[in-house]
Amino acid sequence: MNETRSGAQRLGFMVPLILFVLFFIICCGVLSSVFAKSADLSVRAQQLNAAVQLCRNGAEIYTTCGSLEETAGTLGGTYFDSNGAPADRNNAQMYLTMRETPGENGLRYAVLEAFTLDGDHLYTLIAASYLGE
Amino acid sequence: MEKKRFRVGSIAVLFAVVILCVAVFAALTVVTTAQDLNISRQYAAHVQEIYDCENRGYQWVADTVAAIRQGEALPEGTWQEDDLLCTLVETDTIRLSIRLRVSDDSHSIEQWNCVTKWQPQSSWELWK
Repeated sequence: MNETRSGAQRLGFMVPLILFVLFFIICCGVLSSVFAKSADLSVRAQQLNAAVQLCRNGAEIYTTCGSLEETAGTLGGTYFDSNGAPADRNNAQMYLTMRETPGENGLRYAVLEAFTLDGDHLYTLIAASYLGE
Repeated sequence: MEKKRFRVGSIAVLFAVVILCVAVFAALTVVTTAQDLNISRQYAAHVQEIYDCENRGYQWVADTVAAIRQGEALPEGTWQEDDLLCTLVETDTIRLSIRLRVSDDSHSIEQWNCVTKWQPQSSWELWK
């Protein structure tokens, strides 16, 4: 009789404890996913800022020189880290592509596009250059 | 008759408080980073608008120089001040003022003034 009562007491003690631990684990999981989401948003914001700055630098250089080769040379390459500084491909976070399209009356346009290494598009900027016909 | 009671121990209370605090931190973190991304997107759109306006300005310079060299009519929106040709390129938030000097064999941009229009914030939605 005493053993049965002791087992029931133990069960009565364990059930809320297990429920509490389960609740705690679920809460930790939800909060971890919220923090992971926030880290992802933060990385995306940093990448977008770097991509905008990078494209803007490239656009300013292209506007004054009108040459994609010189623009790429002044920027320091095609691959860049998360701060927009030139980096080798292994340490890079993004890359920049540039292409040129002719306009009217001697005007030329450069389309600068920044991508992550996974190929996700970050930003596009179109810059014009006019150095005379 | 013995009445069953659910006892909330001190550890349970401590865990609940910890979870509550971490939840508040998580909410603050995600709201802050979401607004950071929002501001980054607004800045990116603003830069695109600046360059759209500047590209239209360069288009005007190219058209004006070509018109003068070929003896054609000046582009619409062009006026003359002394020996300078002037125009104003505007978008919703950007105003670009250009003054151009064109000679027989060259041209020079005397003024390239790109400014953001002043837009007073009349509400308290500073983060919008």
